[in-house]
Amino acid sequence: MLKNRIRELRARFQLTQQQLASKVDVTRQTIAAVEKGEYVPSLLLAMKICREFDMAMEEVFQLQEESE
Amino acid sequence: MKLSVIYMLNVIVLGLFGWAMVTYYDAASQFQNFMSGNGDEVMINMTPILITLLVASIIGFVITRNKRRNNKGWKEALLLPSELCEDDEREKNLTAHACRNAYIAMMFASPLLIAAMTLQPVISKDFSGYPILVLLLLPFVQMSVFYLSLRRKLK
Repeated sequence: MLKNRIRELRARFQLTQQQLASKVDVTRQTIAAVEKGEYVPSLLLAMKICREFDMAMEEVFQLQEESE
Repeated sequence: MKLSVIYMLNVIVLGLFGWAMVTYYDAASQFQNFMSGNGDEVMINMTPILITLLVASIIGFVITRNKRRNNKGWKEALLLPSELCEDDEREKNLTAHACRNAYIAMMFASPLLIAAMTLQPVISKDFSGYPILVLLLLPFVQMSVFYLSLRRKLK
């Protein structure tokens, strides 16, 4: 499972879901789905999100084993 | 526009189209009888096709205007079904999943409906539009599976 810190980072950067969605060219629903872990983003979208937070991929997204 | 509304509009237009085609099928049967000397006249009921054209035009206008307001091009607004309008990669993913399910459903529905067509000589005596009804079930199954698959994913 792919865990992410998007919600936390959004709060830190004071961005709404809609604002982040507009910056990375997706809909607000997609950001919500990624935050909840319901949708695994493409590499391109993940990189765009990381660029917005100016962070490395592994700082935003972490691979979590199913058993954990 | 909400997915459930688009689905309902599609079903209404499909139903009306089926009604209009059944009327024309009846007229074609009458014409066949007329040409073989068994009938005196051919009557065509224009009401179903007029209602279908009217309703389809209104629905088409509303949907096209809605899509143009959402900054879609004319080609996409006029030719692409509303349920296939995707704004980002997640929506493309959902559509791809729903299309896959609709394809699988067609693999099961097609042979069943072809088998149902074999009953045509028996049923046509009481209901001449039976082949139209069977053919219309194909797009109905496809649309329904697509809609249910998307709805389940969007919940």
